[in-house]
Amino acid sequence: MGEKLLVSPSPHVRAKGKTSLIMLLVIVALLPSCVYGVLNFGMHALLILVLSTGSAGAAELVYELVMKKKITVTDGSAAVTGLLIGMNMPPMIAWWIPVIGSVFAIVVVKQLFGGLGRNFMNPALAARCFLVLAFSAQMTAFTTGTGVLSQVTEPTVTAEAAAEADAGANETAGTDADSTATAWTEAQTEAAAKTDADSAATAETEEKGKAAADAKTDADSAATAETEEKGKAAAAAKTDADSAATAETEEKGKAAAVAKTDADSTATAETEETADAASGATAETEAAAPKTETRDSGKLDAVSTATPLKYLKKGQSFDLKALFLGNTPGTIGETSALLLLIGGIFLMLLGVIDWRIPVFYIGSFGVLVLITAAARGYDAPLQYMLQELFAGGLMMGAFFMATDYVSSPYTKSGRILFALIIGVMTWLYRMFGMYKEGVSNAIILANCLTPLIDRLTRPVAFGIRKKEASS
Amino acid sequence: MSKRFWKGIFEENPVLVLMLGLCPALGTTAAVKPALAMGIATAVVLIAVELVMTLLSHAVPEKAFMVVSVLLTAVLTAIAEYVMAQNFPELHEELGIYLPLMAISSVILSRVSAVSKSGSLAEALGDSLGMGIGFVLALAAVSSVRELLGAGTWFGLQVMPEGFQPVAAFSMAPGAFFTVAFLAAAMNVKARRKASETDREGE
Repeated sequence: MGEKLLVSPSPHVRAKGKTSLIMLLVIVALLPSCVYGVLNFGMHALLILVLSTGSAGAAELVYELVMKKKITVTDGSAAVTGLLIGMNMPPMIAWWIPVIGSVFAIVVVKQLFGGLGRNFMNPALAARCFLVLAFSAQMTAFTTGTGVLSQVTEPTVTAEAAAEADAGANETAGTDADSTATAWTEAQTEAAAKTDADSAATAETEEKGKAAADAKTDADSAATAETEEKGKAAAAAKTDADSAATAETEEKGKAAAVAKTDADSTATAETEETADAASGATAETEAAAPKTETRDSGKLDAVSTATPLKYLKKGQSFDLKALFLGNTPGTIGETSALLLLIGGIFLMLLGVIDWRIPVFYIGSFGVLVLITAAARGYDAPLQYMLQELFAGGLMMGAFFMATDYVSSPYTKSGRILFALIIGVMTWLYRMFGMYKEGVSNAIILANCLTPLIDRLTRPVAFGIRKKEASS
Repeated sequence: MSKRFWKGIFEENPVLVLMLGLCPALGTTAAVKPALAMGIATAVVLIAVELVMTLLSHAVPEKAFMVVSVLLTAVLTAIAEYVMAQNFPELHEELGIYLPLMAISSVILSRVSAVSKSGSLAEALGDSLGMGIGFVLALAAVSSVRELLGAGTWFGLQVMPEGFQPVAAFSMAPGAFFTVAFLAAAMNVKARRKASETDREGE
């Protein structure tokens, strides 16, 4: 017998698809959202994405060289992790933070636990959570960018505040040709033109409701600023009496006023920051010192602002179309729900990700939010639900993070259970927790539960009857 | 006796190799000062308890050994607490609950049950001194990393340059776990390499 017989356990018929192909498809699915992020937030965002992806690949290469393991960088999984980390960064973040995140994700969460196929939680999400913990100020400092498509949309405001804002905006808009200001004033008139009842009701049904009441009952803008800020920021804002005071009244110190000059933006940023402190938010999420950077062009290009989630958390409403398309502040890759949805559907159709996880996640979360919104008496709960769905990292989490093969269960019913758990946890975090964003924490929690879910839903081998049934 | 001593510091370091005393190692090491205080307190009590129990090992019946050890440790912990509160009140405040927890410290109890029963005073002396110093060193290492990265200081003095952004995670619980994990891994790498060397020598 000259020939050797190869004996191996099943499977004997293997599909042609390889890891590198799957990773390539995922990157293709993520690209539209990345491109949009770069267009929306500017070239710094591109730098962040490139750096995060590159450093993830480099970290894996270096680790495998040092530990004398097989070089697996070319399978693209490190690149995908790096890209996802980059997409989770605020647009104006310092370059070394995503690098640290990528190195942490690849070396600690992935390689130290056994490499590809052995990570116990999604490396990109674990890195994001680590960075939020480690550099909470930088990670929660969101800005609008200098992208080609850069437009800022502000939340709908109360009727009175909108009227005052119009007065203030018209007064100052004439002096500035900044494109962001124009877009903002357009949005303001749009907001004012919306049904007053809707926005007023939304503000009234707000849980805290204190600032709204103040704004209504206090005609004097300076006095309103003082009552809101408890006298802290008013002193800082009074350096520029007119525009700064108007900015404070209209947004109750929360939203970023689009500043015409550097002084304006600094003053408003201070009021926003102290307003957050005054409302008792945790230091971790709200202590961000907003950063504004000016480039050589001279005009202001990054205005610190808050993500839509901040408003949603307080029961305010945000422009649904903007949320869906992505004209909102946020991290680089998560703003455009539309593009992420397209990418996700693309992957589902190709069978790269299991449809059960995103569908049941989004479904359970949506239903729970709808019930909560109705129970809390928000006006237009359906719209609120859609806003919650499109704001923050939910779309990206549902399609690209929760569906990581290794850290999600392998049975169909297990995946459904997994998705439901994430849905419930995200709902709890978003509706009742102190953090604005609950997706990443919910997903990594469920990742840790995956082995238990696998055990629970383990398929019974054919022919084995349950012990009780046997007679 | 000297073998035990050196073992206690490196090869069998209580925190990083034997994984004993993780509670104070994680809880008090946000800064170097409280960590050293905790370490020294534990070391002193460890030495005292181990020596006394070794002397009592013939008198105390087998079944009552652990009970007596725990009682003795608790008494000495209370004394240590009072001494601390009297002489270093701020440190006492800072250590909070971890100081009374020394009464059930796994370092003390496991070393006592491992070594004191043999009745050899030399062994007990070497082990307690080695383990004590090893514990202090381990806590110093963990707290140094955590304080340097988490606050940029060491023992309260600013060490890191002005532009350094402290990584807040290291001052908090997750950073503690990471630091202990990485230091333990480093120690184990060394220990494993040494073990494989001696194995090869034996062949």
